[in-house]
Amino acid sequence: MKKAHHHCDEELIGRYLDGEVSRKEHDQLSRHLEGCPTCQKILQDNQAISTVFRDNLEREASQADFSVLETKVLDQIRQKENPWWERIAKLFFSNKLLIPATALAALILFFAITREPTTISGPSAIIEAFSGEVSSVMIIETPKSHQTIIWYKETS
Amino acid sequence: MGIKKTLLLLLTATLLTAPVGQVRAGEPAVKIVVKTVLASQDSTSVDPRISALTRKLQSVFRYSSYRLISEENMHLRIGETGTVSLPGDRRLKITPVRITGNRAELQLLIFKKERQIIKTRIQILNHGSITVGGPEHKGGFLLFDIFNSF
Repeated sequence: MKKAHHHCDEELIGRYLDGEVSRKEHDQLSRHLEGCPTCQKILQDNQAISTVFRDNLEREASQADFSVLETKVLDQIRQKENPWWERIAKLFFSNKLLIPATALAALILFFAITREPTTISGPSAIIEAFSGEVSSVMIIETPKSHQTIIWYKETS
Repeated sequence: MGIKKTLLLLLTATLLTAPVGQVRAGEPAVKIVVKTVLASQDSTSVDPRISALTRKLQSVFRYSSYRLISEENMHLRIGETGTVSLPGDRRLKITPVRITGNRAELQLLIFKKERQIIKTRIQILNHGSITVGGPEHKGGFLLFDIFNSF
């Protein structure tokens, strides 16, 4: 329910002083103030208190060292932030990374299971040492498949 | 099971199986397959079970027939010796010595009766084979194809 603005209203005067009234309320109260010494007195008192309070606040604020406060606040913010390992864990277990990582893992598994053994150029076997009771021996490498062959002739 | 748990499970499985290659390389067991083949000019038959080996051999030999006489599989640990009986009272002794990179070092000994005919040490590619041949047998020549994987 709206208050009747033609009556004295201390709360409305306070909002009037703070500029928090509507245009209509402002006009109504301005007209009321012109003919109401009581409300004029309330307005003047409020203005005086507000001025004193603002002046004191500005003076205190100008003398205050906010750098200490800023440091304390920043420290608290940092403490509240997650440690690096928690951030990595969070990133790892989020779908953003988990899905691509799993897709990559699935590909690795697929190729690991299905791929043929890698063919490496070079002889299939390298002879490190050979000895025996043979009359002759040949070591052959086939042209394309690089299959190593030891061909020997037994002594009779 | 939620999608997130499923994805995590798959990821964990991959991480656990990813180093399989390295683990395999470190495993002491080496799979050995020895195929004994008789090569001759008797006929023009090629045993389909050794077609891949025959193709390799035909690039250097001119035998018309390649017949698989026997095949033996074994798993040998490093330092363990396996013996394969060969035709003509022969024996092949195989000992994996070590695994270095993608090759297994094997010691091969071939005996005829109690006499040692061959002693050789080879470095053989993983999933590769070496063919040792030459002994005469029943009008042809014996070839021993020694395959390994680890």
